[in-house]
Amino acid sequence: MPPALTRLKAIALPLLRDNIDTDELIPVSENTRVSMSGWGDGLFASKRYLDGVGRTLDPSFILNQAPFDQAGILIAGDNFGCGSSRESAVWALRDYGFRAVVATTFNETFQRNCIVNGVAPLAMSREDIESLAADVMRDPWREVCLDLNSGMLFRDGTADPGQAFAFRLDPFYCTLLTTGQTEDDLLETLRDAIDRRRDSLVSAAPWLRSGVLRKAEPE
Amino acid sequence: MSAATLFEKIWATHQVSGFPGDRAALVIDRMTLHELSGGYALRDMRQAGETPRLQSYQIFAVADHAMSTAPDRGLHDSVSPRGGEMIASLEQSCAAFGYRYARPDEEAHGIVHVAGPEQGFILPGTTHVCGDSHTCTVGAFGALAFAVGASEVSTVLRHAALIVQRPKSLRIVLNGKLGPQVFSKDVALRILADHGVSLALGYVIEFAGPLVRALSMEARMTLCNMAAEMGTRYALIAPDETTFNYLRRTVPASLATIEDAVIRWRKLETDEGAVFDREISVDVEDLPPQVTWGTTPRHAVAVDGVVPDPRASGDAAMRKLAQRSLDYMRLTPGEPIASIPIDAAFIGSCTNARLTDLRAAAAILKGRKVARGVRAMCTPGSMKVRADAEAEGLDLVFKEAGFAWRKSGCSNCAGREGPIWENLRVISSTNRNFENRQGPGTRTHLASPATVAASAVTGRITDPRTLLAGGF
Repeated sequence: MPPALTRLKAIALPLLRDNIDTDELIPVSENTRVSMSGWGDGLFASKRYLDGVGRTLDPSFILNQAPFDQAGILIAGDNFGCGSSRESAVWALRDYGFRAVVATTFNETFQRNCIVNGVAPLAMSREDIESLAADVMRDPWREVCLDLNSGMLFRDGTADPGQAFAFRLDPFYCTLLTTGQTEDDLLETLRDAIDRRRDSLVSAAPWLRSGVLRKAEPE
Repeated sequence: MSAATLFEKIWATHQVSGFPGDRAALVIDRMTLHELSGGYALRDMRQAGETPRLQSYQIFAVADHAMSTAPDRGLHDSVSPRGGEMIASLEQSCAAFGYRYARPDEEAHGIVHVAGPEQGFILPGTTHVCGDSHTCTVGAFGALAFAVGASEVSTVLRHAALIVQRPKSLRIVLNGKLGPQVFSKDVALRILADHGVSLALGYVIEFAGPLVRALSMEARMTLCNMAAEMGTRYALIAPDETTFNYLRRTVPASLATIEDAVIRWRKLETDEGAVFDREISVDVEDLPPQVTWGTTPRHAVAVDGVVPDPRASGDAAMRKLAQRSLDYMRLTPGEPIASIPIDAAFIGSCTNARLTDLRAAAAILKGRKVARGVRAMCTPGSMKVRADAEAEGLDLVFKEAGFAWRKSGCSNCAGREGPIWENLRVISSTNRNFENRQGPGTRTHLASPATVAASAVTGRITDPRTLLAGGF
């Protein structure tokens, strides 16, 4: 179960490109781990290192520059997390230290992978994202604060409500993130109903039991 | 009952309980597992001493992603570091839980979205998940088939159900007839070029119309496969006689049982008067073969066109992306597509490595040779495709032309053969032309198998109609 997330205060990393895909977030060459943890150093590996597994940092990549190397919030454009459904893209973000991604739109499978791993996918208008990113670039050391319950995001130390940004997060997902509750918990309460429906589907449609034939064992 | 869409019918029969935000817990009928997303989930359950609630007939497992495609591969051979370990782990978990695992030396082995349908595992009207973004491929059978992450694979194993947010509905009506050497891959690339990679974000696509009815199951799967690049995880095609004939050949059940099923499956069509949230229609008459020039699948143009000028495209963000793509692809605006020299040619993947795809490529390759210096490779989508192709002598056509004739697997669609194409330009029958997707610095041009074959022969991107006027 991921830790609950209600408020967050962190350095933000603007990466204002559209269609940042999961191959970019975690390249296939990094897909060498056999567990669901320990993926942080693979994040953006094809951009972040000059020599891949040699792990020599490329100083020109923004994630390798202070203070962005300590970032906990990523800011991007449209269709974030498109491509492969690999959950390791979210594990890499999470293990690096990101707990929220702000983008105009998200790939649906990526968004679901975020929720189950306690990373907040927050949608904002392009105008607001550009404005926020420009503000962050002017003073990157100043942290960005967000509050899932109020749906607002603002620069640290800003009391001016005119400088706060509203983000969209589905209320159901917001509940899961802020309580640490999981969909598995919810499904657990439906055990009998799920069984009954499965039984009725299969008894009305016996072909559902067909499966895939086993290979005949050689004589 | 009021008129309903195919999607609404499947949703209604599988919905157990509602949740806020137009969500429901859906019973999941079937799941396909591969060694990455499936392997993690099964291993975790084994280690925790849990017993999955999905029964043996509900699971089909294949190691496709990390699996070596070398002609002499062993049961656990992989080019990926620790790939062999992942493959062995999936096999062991399946043995422990009594799940059907297709070994790489069986005809049932292949890319999950190719082998599953061939083995009769995909049935109309069912819910189906797999930890792979191209799961929507098998929506071509009228199954609500969608991608999940590794954690959700675990959830389905534990609960035989999943909480799903109901998507809005988009019908794409395809009209007209395809010309010679034009395929459903070209139609998908055209839709992407016209409507973008976020076309179906939050929607379930139903492909309909006269063209869809005329397509083979293989061509329908190609179309639904590419829906993943249109921003959705759901694509559907209503089953018809073409579907039923395919299932009569493949589903391992008695003929009487299947005919009973067909009576039911005939009801799985969108009723007249059912309402979609959005509809678009596409006319494919006179559509030329399509090729991508950039680094997102929407960057497609006619093979007889030119590399577009970024200054002419959309808003500032799109112009910036187009320029970045051209820099990566090392192309200049105005350059004719059909003059771009290639270093490698690839026919494979869950998009275009079925028997009809191999036949289309072989029709062009027959009696011709791959151009000097071009590395050409074919990885059939499954061992059954490979065997069927060999029975027709297609393997000889590929080999005599100079193609490497490999075994089944995801292969270099996702850079799974190692960096064999580092900094090279590849024409590829696959689905994604992202930066570095097929290897470090690899520049990918997506196209149909016929266009890939034609380009392999001349050594530059080539309109297949210039080599073969008729259909194959």
